[in-house]
Amino acid sequence: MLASSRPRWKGRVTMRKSINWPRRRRSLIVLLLGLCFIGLLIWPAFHWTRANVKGMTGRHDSRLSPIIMIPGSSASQNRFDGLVDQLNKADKRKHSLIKLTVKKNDQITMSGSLRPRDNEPVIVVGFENNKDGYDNIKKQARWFSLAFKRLTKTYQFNNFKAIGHSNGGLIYTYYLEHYFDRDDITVKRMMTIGSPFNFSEANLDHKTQMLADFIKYRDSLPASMTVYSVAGTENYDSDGLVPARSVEAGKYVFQGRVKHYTEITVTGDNAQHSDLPQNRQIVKLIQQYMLDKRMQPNRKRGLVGANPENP
Amino acid sequence: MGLTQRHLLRQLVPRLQRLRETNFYRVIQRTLMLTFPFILIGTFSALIQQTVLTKSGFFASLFHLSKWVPYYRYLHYPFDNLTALTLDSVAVVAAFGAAKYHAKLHQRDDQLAGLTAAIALLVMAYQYADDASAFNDLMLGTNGLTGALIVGGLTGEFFKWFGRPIRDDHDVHTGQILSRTFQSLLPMVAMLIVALLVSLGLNWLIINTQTEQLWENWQKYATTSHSVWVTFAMAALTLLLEIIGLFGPYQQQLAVNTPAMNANLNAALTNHSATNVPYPFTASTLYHAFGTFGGTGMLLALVIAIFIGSNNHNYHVVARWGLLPALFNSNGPILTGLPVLYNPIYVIPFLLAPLLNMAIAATAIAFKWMPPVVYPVPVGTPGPLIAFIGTDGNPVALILGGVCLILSVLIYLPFMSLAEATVSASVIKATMEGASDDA
Repeated sequence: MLASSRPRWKGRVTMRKSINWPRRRRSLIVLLLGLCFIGLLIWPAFHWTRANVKGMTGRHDSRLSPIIMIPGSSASQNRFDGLVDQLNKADKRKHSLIKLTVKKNDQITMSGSLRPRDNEPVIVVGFENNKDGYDNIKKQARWFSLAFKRLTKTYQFNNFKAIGHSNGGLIYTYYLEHYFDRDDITVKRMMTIGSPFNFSEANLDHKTQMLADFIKYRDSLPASMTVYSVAGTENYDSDGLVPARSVEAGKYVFQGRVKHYTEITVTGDNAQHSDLPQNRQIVKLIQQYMLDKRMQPNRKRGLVGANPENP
Repeated sequence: MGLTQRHLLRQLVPRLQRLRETNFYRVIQRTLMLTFPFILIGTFSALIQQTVLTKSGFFASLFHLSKWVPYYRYLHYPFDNLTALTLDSVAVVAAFGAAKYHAKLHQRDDQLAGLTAAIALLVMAYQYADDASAFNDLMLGTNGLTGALIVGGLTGEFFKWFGRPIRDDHDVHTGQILSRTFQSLLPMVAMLIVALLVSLGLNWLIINTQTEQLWENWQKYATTSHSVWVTFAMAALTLLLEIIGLFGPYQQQLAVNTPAMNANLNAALTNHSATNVPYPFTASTLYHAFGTFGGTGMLLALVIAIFIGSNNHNYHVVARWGLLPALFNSNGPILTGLPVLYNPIYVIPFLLAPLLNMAIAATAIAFKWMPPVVYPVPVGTPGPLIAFIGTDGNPVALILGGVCLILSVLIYLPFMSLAEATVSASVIKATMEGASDDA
């Protein structure tokens, strides 16, 4: 049978008598080595878990909740300077402004710094290659994932708010569907401003490849996120560049998948596509919907959502 | 004590020996031996893949390998490949072996029977879907061993029913081989048709996806429950299913972050202490932390029991090869090498040792001697260190891990001796009869 290669027996089944000491010694040496190996690992294991738990506690206790913005195509990391100025004036708080640029070779440059006691900095992530097109959006989403990773290492935050103007909203959507997988960080809210989910195609029967992909992978979107999709209109069907219908196509991606999906249409002065980030109405919307409410002494912090839907 | 033990041995050994010598059990044992080298290679490959080349792996985490090892991101590909085609396809080998040995017992063409069974298994595992991977992983990996044995056995039976006996292999010329092939054609075709029907059934009736969903729901229920009794019952069920080559609700590979784990972690992070968490008695705090040293069934304890108490050369060889994987919770080599799988002798310790450890851990947690395991533990952490890491370096957890290991060794020792006595009794009998039945 199986164990017949070298029968060691002396006439009868006597288990005690025929102990083979050299063999057993070899095995015991192997065992000893194994246990020493484990023993040597105790110390590094201890250090690892202490550092890991400390890091997690830090992130968990952090009150930092940045607003991370992505500009649209052909725009740089300075795209939102005007918006942040207006926001600071309206909000009567000075939000720090931190800018990141991801180069074509994955290098990241960073400027600006977090002011002390500022829990809600604005972070803008721009790309050296800021061209239009689905292929570029995919690349930019990957570049954004690198920038985001850098941010999580530099700043300990456990939640953030996302704002994307034009293609920035598309980059965010692609990023959230394909790259974002942190358990310890949540996207609280996202606002897309004039984001053409169906590119320049106004007819929703003709879905572009990008929209089809967004819909295909929509189940990877964080379910706890609240999404606002802001459209600007100069006339009844476009903001001068992006068809209102294309912005509206975002509902096929978000509606029923994320916690809340709200569509907002802004008209009037400065409702042209490129003016949208400076539009006073939109600044107000950002202040109202995206910024965290300031702590109010008679209410418990953490239970206050900024959503008007669930106060 | 010694007297009763000898008495017991005299009672049990002949019975177990008779079981070992049934054709049924011989086929199973030889098939497992055939899968052993593939499982051994695959286990070592998986070990490197999981502990070193996965970012959340044990060595990768402890020594921050992903930061300084060049080309770290790409290094895992060759090992993925090797693991997928050895450990995760081992059922094909098992189907081949079962059919081959079964056919050989009845003097049928064993090569053709083996190959037919291997192909039949692949036919059954094939998925008629566009976007899924071509084969069903559950049917081809170690979890498919029992299914593969059934397929192989059935193929052997078909060859017995529909084929004719062949004379021995010497001096055959091409014409004879050809006629022999044609004699085997009927059972081959019959088996492949059965396989196709099964495959059609699995695919068309969506049995595959349905069982998968059912299975997922069941697992979800098992892992999210936080009642002490459900945890213990599910652990016992998992152990029982695993020793007969199937898979249970707590199987390690499938374990994911459960809501209970997240709730525990959140509470611990908020309170800056793990002592008061909402769900102290779950699969992750008890079963995975204290019941799986050396993989399912605490087989690390069996390895140590062999080192200390065994006198069987083969046992020592298997145990030495199996020690390193067992330290990192892979039990494949021990399961198939001794074998422990389908071995009635080991059923009791295989269940008893993990459950006793869980009970000890539950007691320790209930009396607040140590906090429950709530913090993340890297993949492939050595069994005795899991609780230590998962409690943020609590020394009591480390000591308790050692105590559990020693207790399990003590539980395994007598059963190991019984298995060894049965083996040597068979060897003696075989030598006395002068029969050498080994291929």
